Amino acid sequence: MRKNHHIIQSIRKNCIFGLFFCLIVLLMASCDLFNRDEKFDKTLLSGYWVKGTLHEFYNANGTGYTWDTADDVTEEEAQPFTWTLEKATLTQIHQMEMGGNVPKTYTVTKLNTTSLEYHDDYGKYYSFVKDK
Amino acid sequence: MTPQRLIILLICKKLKPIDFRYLNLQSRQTAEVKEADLTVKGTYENGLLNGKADLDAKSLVFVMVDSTVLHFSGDNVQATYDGSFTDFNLIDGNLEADMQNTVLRLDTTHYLNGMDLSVSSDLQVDLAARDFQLEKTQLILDKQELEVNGSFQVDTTNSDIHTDLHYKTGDWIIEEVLPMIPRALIGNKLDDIQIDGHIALEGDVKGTFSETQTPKVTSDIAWHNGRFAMKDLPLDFEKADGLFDLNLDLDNQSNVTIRSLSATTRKRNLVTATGTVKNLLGNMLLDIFATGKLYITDFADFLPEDFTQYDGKANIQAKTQLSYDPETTFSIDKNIIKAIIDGQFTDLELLYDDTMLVYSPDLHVDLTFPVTEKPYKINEWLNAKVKTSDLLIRNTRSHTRKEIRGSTIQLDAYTNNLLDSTIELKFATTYQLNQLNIWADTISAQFFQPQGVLNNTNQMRLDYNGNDVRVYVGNSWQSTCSSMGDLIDFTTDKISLNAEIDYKDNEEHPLLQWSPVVKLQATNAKAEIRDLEHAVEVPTLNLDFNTQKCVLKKANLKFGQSDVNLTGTITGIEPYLRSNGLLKGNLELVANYLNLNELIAFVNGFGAPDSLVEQAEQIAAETGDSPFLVPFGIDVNMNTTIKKALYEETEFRNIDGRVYVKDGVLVLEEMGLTNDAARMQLTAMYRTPRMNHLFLGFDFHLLDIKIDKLIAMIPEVDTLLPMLKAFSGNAEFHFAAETYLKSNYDIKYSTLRGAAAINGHDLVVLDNDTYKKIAKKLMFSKKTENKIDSLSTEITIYKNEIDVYPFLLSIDKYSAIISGRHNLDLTYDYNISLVKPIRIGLDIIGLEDRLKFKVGKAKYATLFVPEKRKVVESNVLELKTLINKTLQENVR
Repeated sequence: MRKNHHIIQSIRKNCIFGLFFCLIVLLMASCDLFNRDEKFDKTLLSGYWVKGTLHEFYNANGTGYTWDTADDVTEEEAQPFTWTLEKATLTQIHQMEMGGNVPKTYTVTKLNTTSLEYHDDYGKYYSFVKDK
Repeated sequence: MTPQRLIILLICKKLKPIDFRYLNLQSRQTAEVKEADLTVKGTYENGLLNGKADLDAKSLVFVMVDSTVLHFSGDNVQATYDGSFTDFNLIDGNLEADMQNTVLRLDTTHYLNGMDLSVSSDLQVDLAARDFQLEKTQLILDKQELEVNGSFQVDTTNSDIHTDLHYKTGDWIIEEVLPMIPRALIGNKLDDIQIDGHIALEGDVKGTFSETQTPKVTSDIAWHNGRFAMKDLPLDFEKADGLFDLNLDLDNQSNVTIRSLSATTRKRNLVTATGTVKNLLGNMLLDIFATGKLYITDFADFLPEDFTQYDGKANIQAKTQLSYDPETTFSIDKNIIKAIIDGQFTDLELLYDDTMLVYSPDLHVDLTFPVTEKPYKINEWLNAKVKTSDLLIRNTRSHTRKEIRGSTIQLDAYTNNLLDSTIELKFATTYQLNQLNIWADTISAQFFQPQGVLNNTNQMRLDYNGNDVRVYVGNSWQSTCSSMGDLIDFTTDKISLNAEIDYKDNEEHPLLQWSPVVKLQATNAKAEIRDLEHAVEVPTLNLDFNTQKCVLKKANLKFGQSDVNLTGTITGIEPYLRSNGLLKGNLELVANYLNLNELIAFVNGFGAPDSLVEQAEQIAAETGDSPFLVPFGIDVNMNTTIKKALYEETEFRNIDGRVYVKDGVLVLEEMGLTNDAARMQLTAMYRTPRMNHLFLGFDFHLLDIKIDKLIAMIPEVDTLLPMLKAFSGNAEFHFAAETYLKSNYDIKYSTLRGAAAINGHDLVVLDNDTYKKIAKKLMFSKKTENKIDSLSTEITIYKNEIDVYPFLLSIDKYSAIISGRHNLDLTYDYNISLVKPIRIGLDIIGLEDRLKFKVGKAKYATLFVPEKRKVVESNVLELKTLINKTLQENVR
């Protein structure tokens, strides 16, 4: 009896674990099911964008530069990057004078003629307005 | 009865004035005495007329006509003859005679012309032979006394007069005597000469006086209290006293020997002379030894007009051979055959162009002209040997001190023809000084025992050897007690300099104006520079310099603890001086020890543009910040081999690599370094575009470094990868980062960019609290061996975000992928994805000291499983590859 009780307990645990596992798999799958892969018009990105003292400029040819006047940096002293926008993924690759690249990947959530919003995977949000 | 036997006693008294006329056709002589009052007393026997005759006559004329006409006449003649007259031919007696308006003329040449004549003579005359013997003869011509003894004889065949006379004058007054000298004797030779004073002559007149000959006249002349002036001679002489020997030979050469002569010129200047003057009446040849005690101010007209002030005394001794022809203009170049002039100047003071003062208390000049030795092949014309105990040259118009002062100076100088304006002036001189001091504005220099050669044979050339040189830059000259310059104090022991200088007036920069070509060797040089803690010592310096390039053959420099040897070439000097190009250098630096902190201080701000200097001063005043300014205007490439170097507090060893500085940019390129922790390669760049925007970038590659040493050496690594301190072992660390800095070196985080890669092998995970928490959450077995085969991760820095890209970590039977971010504010957001033996995630979130551990999803479960890799994971891997690849490109 006692041995059967153990077997029953073991089967029950396995079933619960199996159900739990299935639930997790379903939950994980559901995330992908609801994943919206929005597509933005990269031509809207060209131009000056400003967020407080932070400035970004995007050229249509995939280059750009950024500067922050809070640190007493002028546009002439801005640092360069290259950028790509694939669907909602904005990738900036900041080029160092010393050689070496610093890639930064963001998810764009809003891009129109006046607004640009993106965030990274660590919950850092940026909201720019077009600076004409 | 013949006349010879006749004895007549003559006693004639007071004959009535009668006229006598004597005519001798044979000898073609006539004599006429008019209104003679003759008293004769004597005897006549056998043709011998003996007695005394006193004659008063209104006039007397004697004429002898031959090839020449001799005319002698006088008025108011009073004559007494006491003697004999034999056969009406021989006269032997004493004659005392006075007459007025005496004329002695040979043909048309007057030798006496209307003078009062007084004659006293013991004479013998053979009228037939025309032979005159004179003894104790004294002539007084217009008060000028002349004693004459001897003979003269008129040749009966051709009327030549043969003379053998000795004469002696009284104390003649020259200005009274000169008009008496027959012009036939001296022509117009004395026309350009003014001479007076007292003169006494004694000598002989010997020789024949004819149409073709004149007798030789010798004379010992004593001249005193005289005055002398001559056309073309710019000096007049007064108070002259002299003794001369004159040999006047009109047919050949007349000479004068100056036994002694002293005179004053321009009132107070005493001159003396001895020597000879040959060919006195022609193109004279003078060999004179002259001395002069002169006051410079009296000879201003001898100085160039550019000298506007002058003073001093000169003691001159001159031995001169020169020619002089009154018919031609005197020229030093043509007329002076040889001159050796020894001049001793005291308190000499000359002011040139109202600007440059030259002063010497005692200047000794030996001039030799022309020169026989020609050591410099410049057509040497004049040699000047100069000695002085002290020479000062000062710019009197400068508001700051500009002067040169030398002591115990010796020069041996040669020039080419100074008087030939058609050729370029060439000179060469050796020089030797005990000390030379130079002040120019705020620069002062002292040179001890300098010697060498200065010449401009081709270009201005200076050969210099000295024992000790001191240069001060600053205001040292204003100090009365200190010789220390307040900017730069430079000294050296021995110095050898060979320099050529080609002066170009159209250049502005002094170096380009003088365009020096220099070979310099110095030992034990030392420079103390304001604001530098340590002096710069140069035990050995050997360089060749011109305005095109400077070749550092050897330069051993010591400053502070640093000891370096520099060799190489510096070019682009001329464009740099013209401010239109960079000073370029290609150097080799070998050092036993280099304190980079001192070096940085040494070169800080060199050549910085004015705008940047103004910024620096303003920021320093406002904040006290004084960041390092990379030198501007230079492009120096330096290969370095350094045994030990100190930067901040860290000591590096065996450093090899290139350093270059280009117009405000400092680059350390592929510097290989070794210290206790690792072998390293560093490429770094620092530039200073403006004072509050300084760029610093570096690429640091450390091989085989102990992790704990790495963190100790670069504490910032702990900030980049905090989990690294949980490991022990060796790793390879590659870190590139750059940022702009504020003037106080604070990082401008908005500009911070960085990328790093860490590869570790055979690491041990330290058993600390964090590890225990992670192990517990991920259900690690207690028997887990905490060794890691390998670790490879990429890290980026962007502003204040440090992203750790996913990397696989295998500990015992467990494999996990770690990724995440932490910020410089020490907040963490990490995920550990356990992928073996089960997939489970652990999020680590929060502040460093209050981390929260939360079991969750394995974020990168399939990252390292290619067939199951997701798009996002592929992108992440591509970025990892990009980071690694671009880092690797910096490694050579």
